Amino acid sequence: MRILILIDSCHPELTRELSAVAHELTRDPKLHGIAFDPTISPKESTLDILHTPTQPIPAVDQAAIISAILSLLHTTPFKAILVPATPFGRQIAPRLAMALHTGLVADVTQIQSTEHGLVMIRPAYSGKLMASIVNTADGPLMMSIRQGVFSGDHLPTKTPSRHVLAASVQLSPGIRILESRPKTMTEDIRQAKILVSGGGGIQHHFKELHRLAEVLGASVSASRRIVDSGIVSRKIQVGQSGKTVSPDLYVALGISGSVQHIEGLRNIKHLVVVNTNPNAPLTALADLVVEGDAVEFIHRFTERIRQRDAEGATHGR
Amino acid sequence: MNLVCLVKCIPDVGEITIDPVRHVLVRENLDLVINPEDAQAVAIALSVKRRFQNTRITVVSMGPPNAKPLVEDLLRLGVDHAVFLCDPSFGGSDTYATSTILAKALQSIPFDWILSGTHTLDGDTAHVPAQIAQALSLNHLSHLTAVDLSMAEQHTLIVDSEDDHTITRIAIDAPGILSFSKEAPFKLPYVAYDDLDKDVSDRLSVKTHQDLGLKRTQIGFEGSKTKVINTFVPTRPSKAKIVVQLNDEGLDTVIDTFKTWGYLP
Repeated sequence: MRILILIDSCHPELTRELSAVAHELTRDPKLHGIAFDPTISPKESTLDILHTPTQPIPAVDQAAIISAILSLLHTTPFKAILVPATPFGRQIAPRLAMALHTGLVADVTQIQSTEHGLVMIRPAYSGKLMASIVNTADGPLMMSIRQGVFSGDHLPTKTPSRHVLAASVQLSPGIRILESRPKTMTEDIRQAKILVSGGGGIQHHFKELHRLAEVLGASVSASRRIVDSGIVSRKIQVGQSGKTVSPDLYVALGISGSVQHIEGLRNIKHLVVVNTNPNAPLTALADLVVEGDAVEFIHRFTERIRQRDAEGATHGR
Repeated sequence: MNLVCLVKCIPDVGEITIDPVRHVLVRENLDLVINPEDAQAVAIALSVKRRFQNTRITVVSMGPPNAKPLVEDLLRLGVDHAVFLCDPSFGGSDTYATSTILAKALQSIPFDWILSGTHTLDGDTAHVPAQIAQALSLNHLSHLTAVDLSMAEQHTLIVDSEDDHTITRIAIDAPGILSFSKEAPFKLPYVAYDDLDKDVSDRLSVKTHQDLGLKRTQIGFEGSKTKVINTFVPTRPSKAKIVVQLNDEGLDTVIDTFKTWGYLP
């Protein structure tokens, strides 16, 4: 079965995750990728064939990108088209689905083969509800895939053969990139791999949290209660009225875990809760619960790590 | 300058609860609100109108009858005209059918720019503005956080589009669709007290699929390309949880666990 994967040149690594979805769709997929930057490296890939246009097409020129994809589909039909649910993918996918008169399911987190055919599952209403959706159109199956859900680590690495699209590129004159600059990063808690987060339980000792952050190489975030009491800026607030974060490790100190706070936690690999109340709502989701005072935990834990590091140094490690 | 704002009225997602027994949304008595990013698009249109007096703003909204008062309030805030697409046969439309309906309505409204939000809080597919752009062969930009009007009279807008890492400044020529994100600093004011009961019915047109010249096969369930076959409440996998006390033994367990997970050497 031939499957087409759209490559976001800002996130080429997602191609592996999308390939994992393709392997769930069918036993032995023939994986084609399409990228709009011809300089993209085809090495370390999971694809069999990589299609690129004759010249780069800027991401904002969606009409030209759609034409390039349609020119490929004209000669090579695909059973399914998989798109990463990045800002780029989520702009291109709907246009393509409209042009192909086929259905599109956004931000898919799970797929299942059932008697209804292939079912695509996605969150709705801020994740409060999951919806199972089927494509009822005759066109190719289309979905955008949420990042970080499917793992393609087990897939073999290949070097795909390169195919240059025959159709010439017509860039749209009505849209021009003037400037592109990186965001000045006041540290963004959404990027953090490890977050130590403080709540009402450490209100008067919030600064101590930075000691814990230091020994774990973590960033610091806070619950709404800390932000509302003016101790820290809203920029580091986790939750419905703050930011949604997806670190690998989230250590919640003195946070009981309101529904609004939990709303801000997505795809966290390991959740650690330190709280005097072992039945606080957040403990229900935790991998590890430390029952005790969060401020005391910060002191004793950082002390232990410092000791351990010092011992390690004297042993010449 | 003719501006059209696309507005969706959605259930107040923050207030939504799930029936713990039947595992469905509790829809009764659920208030509708204007999708926040769409409200920003209207706020931007109103600010453009303050600067360029010859601006005409039309709101286009598709929704159930109880969305009408929200659309009327936009007229009380200074929107010139509203087209309210309200027809039971629109019900069940997926994003493809919805975009087909909205694109058809937009074909009879003059516009230089169509403004919308990027996401809605309920469905959050971000499909509809892009699909309308495809149906009407327009350029489309999303995740916009700023708009510079210095070349507006030359039919060009300069906008900032932001993703997690980059801010891209783009010049776009009319006509086009601009979708704003929640980071954009625009807010819709409240309706003035004296205007709360202002009659705006002469500026509101309600349209059905017949008015738009659409066939039943193009709309609702029949016109859709996807079908929701089931909804369910996500269950979080019950984890093998470790619980320790805050003492030396407990700290040993924490440190060992962090090592196993790879957060400590």
